[in-house]
Amino acid sequence: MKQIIINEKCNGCGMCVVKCPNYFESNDDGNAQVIKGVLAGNDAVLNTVISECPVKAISFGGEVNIKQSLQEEVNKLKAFANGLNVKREDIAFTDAYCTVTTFPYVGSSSYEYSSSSSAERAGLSKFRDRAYSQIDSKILDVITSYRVNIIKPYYSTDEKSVYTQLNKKISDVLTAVSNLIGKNKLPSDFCNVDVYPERDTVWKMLEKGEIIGENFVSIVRREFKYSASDYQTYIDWDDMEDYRGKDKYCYRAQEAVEELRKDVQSAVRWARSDIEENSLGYVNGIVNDYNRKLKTFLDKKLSIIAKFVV
Amino acid sequence: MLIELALVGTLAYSADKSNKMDEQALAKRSKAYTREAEARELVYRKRNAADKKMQIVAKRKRAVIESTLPKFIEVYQKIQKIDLNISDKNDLVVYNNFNLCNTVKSMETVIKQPLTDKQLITEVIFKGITGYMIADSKRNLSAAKSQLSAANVVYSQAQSVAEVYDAIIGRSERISNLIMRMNALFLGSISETEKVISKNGTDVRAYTEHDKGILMTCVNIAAAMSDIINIPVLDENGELCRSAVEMIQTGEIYLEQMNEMINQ
Ligand code: SF4
Repeated sequence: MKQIIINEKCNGCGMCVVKCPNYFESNDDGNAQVIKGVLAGNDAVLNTVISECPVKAISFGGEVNIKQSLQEEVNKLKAFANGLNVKREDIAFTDAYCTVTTFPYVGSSSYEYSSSSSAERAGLSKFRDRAYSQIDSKILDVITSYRVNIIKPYYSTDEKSVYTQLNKKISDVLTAVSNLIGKNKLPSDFCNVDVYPERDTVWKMLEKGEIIGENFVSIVRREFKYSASDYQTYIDWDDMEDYRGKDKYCYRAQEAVEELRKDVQSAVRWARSDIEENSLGYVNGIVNDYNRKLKTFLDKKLSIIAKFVV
Repeated sequence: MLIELALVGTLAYSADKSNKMDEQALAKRSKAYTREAEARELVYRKRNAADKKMQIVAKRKRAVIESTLPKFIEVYQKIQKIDLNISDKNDLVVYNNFNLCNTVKSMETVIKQPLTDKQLITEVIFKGITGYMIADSKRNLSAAKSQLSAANVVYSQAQSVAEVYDAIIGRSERISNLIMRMNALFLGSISETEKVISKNGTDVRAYTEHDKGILMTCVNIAAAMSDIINIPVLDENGELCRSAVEMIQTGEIYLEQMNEMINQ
């Protein structure tokens, strides 16, 4: 039995996949790949396909020692039994999540105040009501975005889930094993991998945003030191004479709002490390459960394979 | 794009009076933000998947145009030297009323026009498909009474967009599969034709009816192939082209018939 090789010249025309579906399949990019563990015997259709490949991308490799190949696949499975090892960098709260978007608009008033101080006071009051009161909401927004994009793969079962992705890799190895041993000698569901952690309380709270959500606002809040009145210096005023020749004043609060946005953003950055550490704790709780189940699952598979690896 | 627009609406909600949000308000916001972030993520994921499938369609087309068609043209030039009587009847499945010269000409034109990646840009799709959805979304947002109901509007809009992407994905897969199967048939036919010509040379009298049938089948497949290559996933406005469905169906039926005929 020989190895089949497809080189980088493959243009994805798909001819080999159509004509020899037992040997070839399309990968995610649309190019052909050899089905894991499939080897070439003396097959006329396969030979025709190799000669008809329009870019001559398919060839035979060397003879394969099935026993050795099987052992290599077993070693891969054993390595998978270590499960997922989530590191801090896997759940990094990167700069992309530290961006605090603009606060609700607090612009300038009309020239309606009789003194500069009353205009400033009105500006500060508006600033407090419209912008400063939104700090928690803004913090929550960035944390939620982080949770949904970075943490969700650890509490979901869709195609982006880390469990689904590892299950797929394991299934590929099992497919290779099954092709080396012979599909008919193994149970029909041998290559199916459907291992997921328990949807426990932490999982459900993550889904609802109760953790890595509301509970993290206080972490960022700790890093935010300013009171609303600290922004008074950024509230400006302007004056003009009205039709009676009286001075009238307005406030301008844009600069204060922008300063506030920057300060909240800095607080988020300062809190990064605490956010990551706490998140890692939650994630590891779920991942450990997956790893336990995966180990049991792989032990069963390895005991089936052991009968064929003598 | 739609999601971004819709989110502008959610910013318009009045601010809480207290400096620190109470727990209940925060919990509600949390749900709303989760919905919004999930909506964005859903659209992003579907957009990428659709983009990938469309790239595969383009890849298959490119493969046919760059590798298979030049082989056919080479063979076709040899066929031209044989004075085949085209009106000779074979048990061929006739694909439309093909005209040999036009078919080859149209394929030569396709070869000269490199496929641009423009057709892969799904951003363009959005302008066409979702124009009406944006207006609808804005209307619903202005009627939403809380940030959470606004977030739900955004999410349901995202689901509608995701459905459009799913339709694009389905269409792309179908076209890509059709091109792939037609190409397999085409390559086999070209190879058979080459063998027959190298065996018989250019003297038409050396050809049996069966040999002529092989040559004609090859030309026939080329005509069908050139039509399939031209099936768009989307039209210039970014809408799923209705006429393309008919073209796909015609192609699929033809492919079935050819396969049946070859397997007889
Ligand atoms: S036939 Fe050749 S070019 Fe076409 S998909 Fe297979 S390996 Fe790639």
